[in-house]
Amino acid sequence: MSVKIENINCTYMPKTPFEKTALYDINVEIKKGELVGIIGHTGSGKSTLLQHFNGLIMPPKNSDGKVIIDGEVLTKKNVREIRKKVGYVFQYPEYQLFEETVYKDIAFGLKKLKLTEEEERSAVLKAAVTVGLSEDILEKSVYDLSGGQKRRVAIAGVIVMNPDYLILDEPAAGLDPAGKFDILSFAKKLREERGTAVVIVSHSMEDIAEIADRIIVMNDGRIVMDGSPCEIFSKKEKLNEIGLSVPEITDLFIRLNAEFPWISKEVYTVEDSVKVLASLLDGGDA
Amino acid sequence: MKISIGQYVPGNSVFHRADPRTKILWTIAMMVLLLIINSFVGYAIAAVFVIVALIISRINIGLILKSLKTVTFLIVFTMILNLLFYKGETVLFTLWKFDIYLEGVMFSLKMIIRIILLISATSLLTFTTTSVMLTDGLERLLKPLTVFGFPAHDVSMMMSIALRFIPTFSEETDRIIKAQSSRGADFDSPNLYEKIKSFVSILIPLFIGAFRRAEELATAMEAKCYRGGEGRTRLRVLKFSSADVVILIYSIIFLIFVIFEKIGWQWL
Repeated sequence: MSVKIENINCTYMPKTPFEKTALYDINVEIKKGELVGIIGHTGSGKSTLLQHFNGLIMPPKNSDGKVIIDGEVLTKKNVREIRKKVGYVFQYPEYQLFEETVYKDIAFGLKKLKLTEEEERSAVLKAAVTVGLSEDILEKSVYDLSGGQKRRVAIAGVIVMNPDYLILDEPAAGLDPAGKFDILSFAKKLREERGTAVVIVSHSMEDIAEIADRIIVMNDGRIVMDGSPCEIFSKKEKLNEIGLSVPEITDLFIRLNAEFPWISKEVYTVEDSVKVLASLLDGGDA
Repeated sequence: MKISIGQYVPGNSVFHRADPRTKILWTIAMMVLLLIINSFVGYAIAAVFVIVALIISRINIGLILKSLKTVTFLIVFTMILNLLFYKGETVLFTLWKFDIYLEGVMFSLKMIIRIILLISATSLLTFTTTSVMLTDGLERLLKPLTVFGFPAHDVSMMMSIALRFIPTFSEETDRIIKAQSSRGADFDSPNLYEKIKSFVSILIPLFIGAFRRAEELATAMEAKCYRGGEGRTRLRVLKFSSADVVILIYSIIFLIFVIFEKIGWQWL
């Protein structure tokens, strides 16, 4: 069970003076249950790559590029089925809300499935609870909500389809710390409860270090690194070269390690640092 | 962005360097002259002039063909109407209830040539001029009308804002379509109700976005102390240059040809 991208190239506006190649020969596989973080600076091809996952961008004709979802090759014919399996939450998803009430907006995608009213209601409730919305706002107008709540409604509108794979394009951009924390922890919860594979794009190395168990680094339309947070964030120089960085806490411990070699520099989250410092206080050498 | 009509293509030809006012006047002149011409000889001369202008401007022929492609429907439609309903004298053949006349064939051929030449000649303006330059030129050309209370600055400001937001909205529409279709909107559903419902899911967010942007823009303009055209100085002062002289002379030569074509060559 996986989403597999094979030999994908992507060029915008080919054969015009505005021609721009966004992806070069991408090969990547996301397995079910993985929580993958994608990092890369603006224009590195992250969004373009993600839009291949559910057929928003199709591999160019007469190329050997392929997208394979659970063993099935994505084509124009099965794209609608595939989109039920692969949920995609765009950047600033609150701008796509349009129904009169929160309930209707979340249920929008379900209309095609011909569910009974109770089935629909329970699916909407489940999605709302997963993203942390309370039941009493379901009958409110979408436009009466705060920014963070709107974002949750929009995300609920995607996960109500119960996708096996969920793509979140900068889900926490523009939210306050509490809103950000909620969104990241629900991504984790979704993986644990339903086994959903979650792919998160973020510019915050701290967020990625916090939740991802695999990180893909993109630069100029290519995947330049792919590995565990440990593997990626131990290569600070390489990340700096392409305009990225390590989490601030890692940076601190790298500096500490330079002065005091017995302090570990393999610290990627605040939680890690607590453990390391605690064991130092206990007199061990971490 | 998929709009090819009116897409500015950077370059450094005579046409790119010319003052936007010259180019606007050239476009108007071309339109008028192409509508005056009414013979195949005249169109042949016009075609030579337009093609030479296109070569000078170094615009990719593919782009011109692409913008012609968008009006294919118009061309085919006028051709069919003219063929069927033009009344002449020489009947070529009868198609069901319609007599097809030789004159009708000639007339519709002329119409096609005229449309193609018009599109190619006028697309030169938008291919070689940025929208900013275009509205600057237009404002300057309309300025004499302010004497009669015509709000030249406001009109050109509105135009430049409208032009400025075309790519933004086309991008936004694209994004909303993608977002809605990834959560189940079906834009090619055979069910009409479904289809309309899907389009509503694009229109509402698009309109809300437009209002949001308008409000933000208004606030930003106010924050920058925008207060209309009075006493405003310009970053780009429009100046006529040698490029304008070239286009002017070129237009005059064309005009002379058109006059000769109209009054007849026998006078020469």
